Amino acid sequence: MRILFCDDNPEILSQLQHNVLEYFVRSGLQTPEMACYRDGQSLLDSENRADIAFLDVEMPGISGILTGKKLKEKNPGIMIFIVTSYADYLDNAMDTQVFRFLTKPVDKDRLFRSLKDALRQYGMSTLIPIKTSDGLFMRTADEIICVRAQQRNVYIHTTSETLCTRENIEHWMTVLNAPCFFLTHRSFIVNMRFVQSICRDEVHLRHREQTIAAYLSQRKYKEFKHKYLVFIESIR
Amino acid sequence: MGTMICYILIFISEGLTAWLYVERVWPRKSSGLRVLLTFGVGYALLFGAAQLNQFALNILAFLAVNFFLAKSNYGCSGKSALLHTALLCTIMSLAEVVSAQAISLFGHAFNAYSQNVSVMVVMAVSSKLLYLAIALLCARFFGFSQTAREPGRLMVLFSTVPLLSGVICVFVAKAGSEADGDPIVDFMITVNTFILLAANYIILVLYKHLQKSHEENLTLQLAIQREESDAAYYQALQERSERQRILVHDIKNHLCVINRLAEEADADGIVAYLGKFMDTLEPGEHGRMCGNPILNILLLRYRQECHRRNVSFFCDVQDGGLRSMEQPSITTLFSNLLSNALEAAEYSEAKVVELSVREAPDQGITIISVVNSCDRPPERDSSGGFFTRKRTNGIHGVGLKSIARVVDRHGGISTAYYSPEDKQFHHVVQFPSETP
Repeated sequence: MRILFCDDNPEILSQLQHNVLEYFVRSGLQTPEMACYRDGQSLLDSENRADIAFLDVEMPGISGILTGKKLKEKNPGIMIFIVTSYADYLDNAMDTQVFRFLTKPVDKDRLFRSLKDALRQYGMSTLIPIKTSDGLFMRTADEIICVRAQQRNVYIHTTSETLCTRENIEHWMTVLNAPCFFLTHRSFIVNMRFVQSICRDEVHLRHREQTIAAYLSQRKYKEFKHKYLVFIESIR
Repeated sequence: MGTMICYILIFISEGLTAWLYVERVWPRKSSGLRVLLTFGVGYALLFGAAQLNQFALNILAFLAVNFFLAKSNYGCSGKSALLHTALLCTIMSLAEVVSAQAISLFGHAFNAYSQNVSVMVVMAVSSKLLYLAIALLCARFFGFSQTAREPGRLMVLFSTVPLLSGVICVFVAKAGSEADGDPIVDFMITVNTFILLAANYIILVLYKHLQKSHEENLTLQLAIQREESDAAYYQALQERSERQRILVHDIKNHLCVINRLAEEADADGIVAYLGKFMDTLEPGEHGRMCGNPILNILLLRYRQECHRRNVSFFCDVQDGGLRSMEQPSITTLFSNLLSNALEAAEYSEAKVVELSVREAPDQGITIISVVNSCDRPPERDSSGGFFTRKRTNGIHGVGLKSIARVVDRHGGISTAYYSPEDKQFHHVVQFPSETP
């Protein structure tokens, strides 16, 4: 994992980096690579891939919002944290898909909770091998909408295509162990990230124009509804 | 053979009567075919149980089967199903006793139907017609039931009278069959039957009265809450008006000072003075917390209120997803969510409230999350909500109902849970951000 920090104030930069490091140490996780920059342009010139970026809004040169937008263009999966002195609404940040807004001085508990949510989402970017008769495909958990068993085949619906495999649902329950997956019915595993609505006996999944209806076992309705809402709260 | 056919027709008529009753009392949640199949299977089981010729078993089986049929096919709570099932059982038992008594007036023994097919037919027709008539009258009296209007725990208490009446019917039937035409016993059985009918009718009336009181109470709570909101709103308007009046007065003084500094060409003095002036402005009075103007005012007010009560308020609102929700619903939803959160956070150690509103455009949904610090986990009540710990005397629990109402109306879902490791209470709402 690679985390970037960008702020023109060296004290804030140092404090933020220290707090993030403290989180990883306390959680017993492997310390990520970290890099610090004093302005957006030098960050964009140096970096090609990062997983998380903490960006100050008001910086010399290009703003943190614009830096975030450009980072997203290079790497859509990056999680952007905007750190600002103003609690007020930032119009131009609304279409950047900012992961979290943090106001200065950054509250440590809030930072830790946000990092926990970010790492949960990061876990969904691990590649999963899918073996089909046409070859081996690698997809991330983020790209898998649902898994559907029909007769002897299992179909994996992803954001770009539908793949047919011979492994059974039990195999996929073991492989798809990210917290976003849920077995709603003996023939369906859904990725809660793509849920649009839930009925008593069906879950409607949507990704842009693609919609899929998955069965939901009635006795799992309450459990699934609760887990789904807890999950989307964590990745909001 | 004739007896068997008679019994089959009896059970079919009982099944029809039960179905007509429940259709008038609860909304159906299963398809017509499923209702037909389950009623068919249920009453077939009752027919089988009846062959064992045990009064007590018949009563218990009737209660169990009808309870299951009501719960699985109709939108009713368990307590409501128990009450109505017990009533049906009592009505049916009493109808049979009344018919048996009526037949005994013509010289037949109380239990003559078990030996004489003609008596059985007469008794079956009369008792089932009576059963049907009383059941439909009761269904008409109850009206269409709404779970929200039912007075929860008292329903179990109300159910005991019909259940006990059923037990008494068993004893009465047994006594009647053993009495061997004794006129005093016959008279006592008749009186007993009518007393039981009257008792159950009184229970019906009491239940109806309680239901109405419960509904009036809820309406009153909502009206009081509305009045309190109006009062708070006008008070806030009045305070704002007063502050503006004072500000205008003060601005004149400030402008005089700035004018004097400008005449003295003291630029640094002006900057310092303006800086101090900005610091004196209270947070929450100004600013933009979201793009929706009414929601913005609401959030600014809560920010101010949180500041006043020493609670940290973090707000991250992307209100694009609220475009499908009309303004009154937005106000109801957010004011209730934040009010509950603030009340709980104020008495916690961490004193934090966080609001987040996000849209997931690819899924066409909006997610609202309100998190507040809360040192002790709240206890759940029997209706799925939480027991209040609000310190002010008053009626509580209406806020959560308002939230649920708004969420339901917009086709959304919500949940509330406590996280003991963070000592935080979460309330999450999801609804479509596009109008279907």
